[in-house]
Amino acid sequence: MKNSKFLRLAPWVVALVALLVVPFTASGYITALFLSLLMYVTLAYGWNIISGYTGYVSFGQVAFFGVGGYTCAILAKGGVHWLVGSLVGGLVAGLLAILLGLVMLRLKGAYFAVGMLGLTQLFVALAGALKRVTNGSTGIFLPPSLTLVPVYLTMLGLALAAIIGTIFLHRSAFGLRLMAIREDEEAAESLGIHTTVYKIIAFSISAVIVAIAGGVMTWYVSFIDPQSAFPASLNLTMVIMAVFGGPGTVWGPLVGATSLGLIAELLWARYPGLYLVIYGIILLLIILYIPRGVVPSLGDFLRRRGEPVRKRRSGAVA
Amino acid sequence: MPEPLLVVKDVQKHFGGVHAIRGCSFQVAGKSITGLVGPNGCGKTTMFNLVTGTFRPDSGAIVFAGRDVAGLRPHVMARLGVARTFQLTRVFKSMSILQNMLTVPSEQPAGERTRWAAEVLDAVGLAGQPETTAGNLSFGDQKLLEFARIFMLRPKLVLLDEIFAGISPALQERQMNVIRDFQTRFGVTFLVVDHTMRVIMNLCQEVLVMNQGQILARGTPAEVSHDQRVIEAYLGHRTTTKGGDNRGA
Repeated sequence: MKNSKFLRLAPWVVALVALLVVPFTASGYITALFLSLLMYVTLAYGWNIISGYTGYVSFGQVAFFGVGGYTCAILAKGGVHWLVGSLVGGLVAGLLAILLGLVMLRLKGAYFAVGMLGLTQLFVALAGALKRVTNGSTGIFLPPSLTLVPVYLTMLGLALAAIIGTIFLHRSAFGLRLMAIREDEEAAESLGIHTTVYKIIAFSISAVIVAIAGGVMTWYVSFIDPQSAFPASLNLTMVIMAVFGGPGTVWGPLVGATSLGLIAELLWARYPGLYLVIYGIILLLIILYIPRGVVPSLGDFLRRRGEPVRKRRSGAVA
Repeated sequence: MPEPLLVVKDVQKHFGGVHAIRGCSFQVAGKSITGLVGPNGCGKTTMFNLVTGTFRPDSGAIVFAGRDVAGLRPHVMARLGVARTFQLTRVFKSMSILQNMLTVPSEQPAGERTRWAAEVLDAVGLAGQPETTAGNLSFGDQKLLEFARIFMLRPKLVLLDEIFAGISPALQERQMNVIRDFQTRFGVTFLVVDHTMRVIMNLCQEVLVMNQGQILARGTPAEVSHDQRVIEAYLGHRTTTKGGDNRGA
């Protein structure tokens, strides 16, 4: 029994050790690639909590990415350590999400999705207008970070925290209730679940994760302006990655973010002119043939193949 | 006369120009099984939505266990012990049977909740495969699961909206037995809306008849089924003129 548990954990330990040594051994290009993959993983997990588990599909979580980025940049400019700045950015975004959630989470389905998209535009406009704080469209320049290692390790820690947090969420009563809201909000409320509170907490946790990632990336890039703080492409990328892997699952965002992140990188390196076309075709095929995402579909496939074994085992227990 | 658990007094509810509930008053005795019948559109489901907090009454009082609860939110009503099922089944389809049960919040420790979930599932006949995904269950089993799930609230008052519709007589029999069992063992009070007269006649100690947003008659099943007003509400007026008034048929 102990042996099999060790065997199950072994690949994870190997992967973790490999990820830990990357920034010390690999080239700058590889480290930067892994950093961006870890960021995608983090964002996909952040999105998964409010949209995958709770069913409030947001096309605007990047708003919190920018809030985290600006908080970190403004604090770093004032002499605060960037790591502290990023964590404060997470806190600010979390509190902001509580206030925004009170309004936005009254919207459902497509209205919420589009409402969040509109909110991002509002944030872009605000970041341009509040010149005193954000330096408007000129942006804020930070001293360039000379080494990737601390940024990389921070993002690795954040991604791990998001994954482990999701593992616990998936098994918890809190997670069950988020799923119940996704399945049927009115029924959930009739069973005594204070749906508004649950939704706002999920929204806020999602915002914290995304915002810390935003802060760390801003320090890494050493610059922020309204366009780089709220990148529209990133907004869509985190949705696509989570949906590709399997929204509302523990491993979906990891599978989606790493595989699509790698595919995009390889295509970009090989076919710079055509990469978006090919990427688009791959996405279309996936949505057509495995709309629920890779992880649930693969799970079903393995279960069907393993059916006789499983039956025998459960029969022995009963 | 047992203490009434639920008192509805002169409740009014409009939806735009539609006067759905027109001064509705009734009482439900504690630990009873009471039927609520009436022609389609008479306001039964609206009344459920008012009692469970989905709608707020325009005027009138709703008193549950001695407390005015009119306008309290559904999740608050659920925590106070008022549980309901929906006319269209609303199980959490992507979740397992057991997950459906354990989603319901309660102050009990986890072990006790799991044990209670198993007991309720056993009572309704769904104990076999608690890991089955709810969406894969048959229509009848989904109805049983929704019915079982509300008992996780340890409710005092249960409102059942057509749980007998569209399921086999054998399953209906099982549900009736569970209702009687929970009434006697745990003192749960039931208010049952249904069109299946066989069930209402067998199950209920008292029947309330609604028509056009008001209580038309009340009494034992035998009494109301012979009440002239009730017969008219369902079948229309007896008339000698040709093309008589058949409203409410």
